[in-house]
Amino acid sequence: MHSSNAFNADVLPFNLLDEDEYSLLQDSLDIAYYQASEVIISTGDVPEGLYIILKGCVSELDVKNADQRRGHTFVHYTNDDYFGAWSALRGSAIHDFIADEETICYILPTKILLDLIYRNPHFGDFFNKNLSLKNELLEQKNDSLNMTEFMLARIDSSCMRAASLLPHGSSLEDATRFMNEQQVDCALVQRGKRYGMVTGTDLLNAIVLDKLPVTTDVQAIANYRLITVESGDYLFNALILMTLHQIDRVVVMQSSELHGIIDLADTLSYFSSHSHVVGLRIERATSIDELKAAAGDMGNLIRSLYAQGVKVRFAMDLLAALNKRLMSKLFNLVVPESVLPHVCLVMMGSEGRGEQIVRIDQDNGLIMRDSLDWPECQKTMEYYTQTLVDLGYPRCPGQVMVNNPFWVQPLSEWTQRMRDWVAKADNDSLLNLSISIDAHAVAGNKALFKTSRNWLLRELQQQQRFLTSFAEVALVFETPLNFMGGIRDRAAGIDVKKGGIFPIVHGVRVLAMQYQVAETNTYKRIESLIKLGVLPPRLGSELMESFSILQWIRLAHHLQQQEQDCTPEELNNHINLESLDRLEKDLLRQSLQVVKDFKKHLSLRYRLG
Amino acid sequence: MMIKRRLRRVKDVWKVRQLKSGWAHLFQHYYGKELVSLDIETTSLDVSKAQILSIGAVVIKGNRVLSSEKLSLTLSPPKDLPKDSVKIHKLRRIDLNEGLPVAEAIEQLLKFIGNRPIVGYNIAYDLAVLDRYVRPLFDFGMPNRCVDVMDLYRKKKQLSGSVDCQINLSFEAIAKGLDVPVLGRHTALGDAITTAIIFVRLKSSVGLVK
Repeated sequence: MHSSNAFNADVLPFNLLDEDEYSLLQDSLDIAYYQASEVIISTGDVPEGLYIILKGCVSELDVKNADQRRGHTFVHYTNDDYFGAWSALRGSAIHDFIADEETICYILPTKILLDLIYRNPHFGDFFNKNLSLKNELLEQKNDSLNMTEFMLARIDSSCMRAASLLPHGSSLEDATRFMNEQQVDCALVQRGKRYGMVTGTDLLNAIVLDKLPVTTDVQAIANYRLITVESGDYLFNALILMTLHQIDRVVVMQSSELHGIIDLADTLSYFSSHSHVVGLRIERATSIDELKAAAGDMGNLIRSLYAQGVKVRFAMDLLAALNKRLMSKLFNLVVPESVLPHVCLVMMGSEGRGEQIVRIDQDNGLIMRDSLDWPECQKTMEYYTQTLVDLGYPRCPGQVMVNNPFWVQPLSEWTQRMRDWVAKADNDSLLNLSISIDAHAVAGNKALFKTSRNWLLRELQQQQRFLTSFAEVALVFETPLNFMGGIRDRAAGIDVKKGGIFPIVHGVRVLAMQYQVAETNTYKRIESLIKLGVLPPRLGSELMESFSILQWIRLAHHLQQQEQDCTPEELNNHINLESLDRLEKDLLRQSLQVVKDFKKHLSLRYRLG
Repeated sequence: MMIKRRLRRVKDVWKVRQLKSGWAHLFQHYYGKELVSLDIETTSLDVSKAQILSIGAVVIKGNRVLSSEKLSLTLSPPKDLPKDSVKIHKLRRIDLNEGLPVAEAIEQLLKFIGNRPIVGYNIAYDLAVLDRYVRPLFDFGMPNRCVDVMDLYRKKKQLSGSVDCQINLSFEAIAKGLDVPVLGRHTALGDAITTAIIFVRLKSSVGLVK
């Protein structure tokens, strides 16, 4: 009946409406025309309703000072996008909306929008989901930080303290007095262009244990290998760094200039969740039983992160850091101290990439110094694997574990083998290579691992033909989209891992190899590839977004299966479309579309059939 | 054509006043800011034969097309529905069976428009066809002042230096030239809305409409 009005009802969230609701929508829409740079809604106005762009482009701006007319642009909206929902529901506009070019909009009056939200809970949810994000951004200004906001909080002056810089030529005595006066526990010293850190403990050790005279220059005892973060980075990353390096402070730099110091205690005061408690328990564990208790907490942590809607990427980062700490702690408990400097434990596969969310299986290996004589090796590694199983990390079905002698090799053998795989390039070799390329050193002597990795990156540089056959693997599994771009449903469900996650991970891996990106995490690889100009920024960011969505759908699916008491071995990746709501289905479809585009990109780049 | 209409309107005004007809308000001068965009779908392009199939109208106010304030009427089918026209507007006899009798539709339309000015594309044609129905019923023709977006577009083009013979005045060409999306072409309401957007778009070009 109302086909005359070409309002695009196929886009979210309007396709959630039923026929009656849709015709109510249709009957209530007005059309407005705006010229370029015309203000559609200005901050504080009472908006007329929800705006849907029929044609044109609109920016949402933050106008902070009256004199600075053009503030920070938040979002650009274009055809079929809608805007102003939050402003409409709130009763006054939170930002300025300005037409970038000539723009034609539909306007849905606020009253009708509210009617529809109350009538149709799915439609309402959609706005709530999107609005909750904005809501959070808004509240973030009010300094009331909750967990999710903490995840999004960035490093700025509000969370760091000023670095106390000791005057040049200070002695230990001066430094102690200085720190007392300033009431700080650590201070920085400058030597040339480098900064070093001195803590209260350092001073104590120097004077009491090393019996240095109090007139010694403090430069002599400072630690110059500082762990730093960039100002503007996520506060959360600082926490990961601290967990990773077992330190209490990180130094904040901004383009190699000293900015301040973030203290663990300060961070913890922001951080009310128990994720750090888990970290601390792992840290403090001195026996395997204590580790076991800490590992038990991690399952709950995943659940609470998911329930709180923490972004998948942050959740993965956090869990990867915790997993890594746990494995390394266990390794240090199991392996004799005399052997530790001569071996290196590496995590491989998804663990190496830091992308495991629900613990799936252990993928690890051991690189040893060439001449190492360690008869108990096999026995110790068997014990290590078994203990990990006890801690809740199931065995790897492909036997990629340290109890398998195949993955416990001296450095020269380890590299020689990779050379063989590259030359052979059959299925098994390619699989083994993929696993080892994602390796990441966890415990022991990390230099062993770095040698092998650097060798591999150099070696692959010269192997264009190999890269081509390696890239082909990304296209092996079909992406379940039909010709029309809809999801092809199967009775068994859709395998998001094969159809979506694997092609992204592998394709990105191949590109990372070719361009010598040493990162193993898929997000970081993509970011590096964008920076190198290898991936178009748009495709890159779409890939990261899709990767998150697919991982998120997979996580939800796994958590659901766990609730039905599946053992970790039984978890599968088959998503039943019926179990997704329309929004999720739509996100899945769009993500798979991006995967398809990426495959096309790979075929063109490597000239794959 | 338009001049003839003007003359007839003077006569109509006089007649309506004499008769103290209930429709006299249609002839009063309009002081408001609204216009009505109008389109009709007919069986033929020949004014003397064309039969009305559907009528679409929508209110324009300032830079807004008030598509929530609209009129969309389907008329009961004429006895002979020419095959050729079916191809264009996709209204088959069966689609028209539920339609309104012509007299009722015309009355609704006149009430909807009131004394507001009319906007249309090649509006003279629509008015001529409507007059053929209105006059026998009420003894006057469509009384409203009107604006033709075709004229506005031609003027705009001339101002920017185009020569007349170069200007493509087809509906699609105008929409394309102004980068206006065509909504539901060949439905009366769709065309009325598109015409309304074209009008709003042209209006903001300087110096075309007072």
